[in-house]
Amino acid sequence: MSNRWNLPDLGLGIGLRSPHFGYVLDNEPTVDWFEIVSENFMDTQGRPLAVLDKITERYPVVMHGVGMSIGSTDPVDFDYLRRLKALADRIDTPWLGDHVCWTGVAGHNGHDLYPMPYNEESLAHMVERIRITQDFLERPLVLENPSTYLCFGSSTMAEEDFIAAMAEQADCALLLDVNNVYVTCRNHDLDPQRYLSAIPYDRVVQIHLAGHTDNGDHCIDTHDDYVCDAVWELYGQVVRGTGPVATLLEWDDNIPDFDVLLTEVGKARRFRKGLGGRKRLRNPRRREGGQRVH
Amino acid sequence: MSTEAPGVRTLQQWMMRVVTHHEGIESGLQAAAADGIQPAGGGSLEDIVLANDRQGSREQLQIYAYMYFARLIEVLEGEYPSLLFLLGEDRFAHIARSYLRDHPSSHYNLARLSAAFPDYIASLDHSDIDTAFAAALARVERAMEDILDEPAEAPITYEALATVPMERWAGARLRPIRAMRLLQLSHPVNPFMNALREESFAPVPSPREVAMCVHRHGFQVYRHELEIEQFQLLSELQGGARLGEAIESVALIPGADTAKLMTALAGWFESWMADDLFAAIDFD
Repeated sequence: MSNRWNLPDLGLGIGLRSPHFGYVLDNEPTVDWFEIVSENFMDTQGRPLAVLDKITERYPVVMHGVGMSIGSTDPVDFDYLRRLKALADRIDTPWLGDHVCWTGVAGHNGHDLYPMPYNEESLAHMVERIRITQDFLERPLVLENPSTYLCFGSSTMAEEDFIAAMAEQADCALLLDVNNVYVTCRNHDLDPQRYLSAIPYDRVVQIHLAGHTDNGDHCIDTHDDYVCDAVWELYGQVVRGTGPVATLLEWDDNIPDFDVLLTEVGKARRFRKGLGGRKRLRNPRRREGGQRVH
Repeated sequence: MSTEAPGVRTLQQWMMRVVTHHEGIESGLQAAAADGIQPAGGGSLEDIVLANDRQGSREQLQIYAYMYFARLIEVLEGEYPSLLFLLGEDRFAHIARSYLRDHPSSHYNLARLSAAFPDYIASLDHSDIDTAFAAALARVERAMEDILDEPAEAPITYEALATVPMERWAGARLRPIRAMRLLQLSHPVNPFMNALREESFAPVPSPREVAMCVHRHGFQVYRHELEIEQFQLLSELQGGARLGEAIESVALIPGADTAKLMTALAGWFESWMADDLFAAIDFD
């Protein structure tokens, strides 16, 4: 255990999706842990919850949401947080995750992970919201860097510097989605090495891997394919810096057989091999302080 | 509780207006301007969203606009497969876009997005669509979705029923499971839906008032047509009536054959018990 919260390295996990419910229950595959999309289980008392209860008897299950809208300027949705907390208590999730984003405003939910402007005003706003939310949930939030497809002119700092400052000031944990780093850097002509160098590795408690769609002039985070070689390379670089960190494969569209997912996430093993349980250091490449984009 | 970030708020309102406009981002940009939503420092669109070597500001916004409708229409298509088949993809998408304009999502739970869709379908005035049949399909498919999230309840058993003294039956309240919906429809929908499920085809049926029960047995969803007397009886029980009151209300249906009713009751309850339709039996 080498992060600030002593949260465990859960090993290699897979995003639990409904097409695999039956397979997982019947076969109890050898996978270290599962991650769920929180909102798919918060408002149901039907089959998803019944399946989840059975799976939590056998595996650690981490909650990762898409609906917290932590960056929205609407009032904090305490009804949402109450339901989230109830589910977290029910399945005893090791930690709770969501994204550095907003999903709606003025009561209109777009059900997408919209980018924040990265400036001092939005940083202060985000930090306050994270503090409120963490206090309410009584556990650290683990926030993920998003894939973004546009850059706001009102941004005055790079995304990675915003995220580093946000984590520091709000004292929250980070989920480093390596595929999102790749997609965002491709879309905005950024240097992934520079991006990773800004991330405080001692706050990274989880890593995401996924496939994306390369449309030539931009990439979309579609989670519908194998992890590409460039993302594997970045992953290897990250875990050399972080030490062993809970790593999860996401696959949300054109979902293949479970064996394919097992094989794919198993590729992460060779990057983790030899890392042992060594204590991670602060990101040696990390520069302190923000940097203006333009 | 709301934090003060007026610049962020204006930018979020602007982006939401632009990327969710049902006529596209140009209309969204005009709507935002007409409403006076102007992000700080945004003299031009290119000041608000920075272009790069490969994509202009509009192209970047268009990615989010495309995903907004693609994602939500996909949700509706998944919930209303029979309606999708009836209308065809293009017509369905067109109607869904209009629905999203009039009923934008306000809740994090996507399952709530289409709660008003059946009524919306019923309100359409399209000369080339049998909107009454389309609405009937939508109502059944909505009910099938709704009951998926209801709790799994242990059904009452024959053994439990056997312990009820005969003289207490009239005052008993048989509570149906929560995963049950009773519907009155303008058209029979089962032949059409069953054919689709078997990858076959059935024509749009002629109008005929039917009653239906949509329920879950375990985690499987079933839909049955009901006789009007069965519908009345289950409706009364669902509403909390005592068994005696419920049966009386059925007997009061115009043209009801009481003798036939009394004969049929045992068979009905036997069938409903086999379907695990009752979760509790209570007494005053």
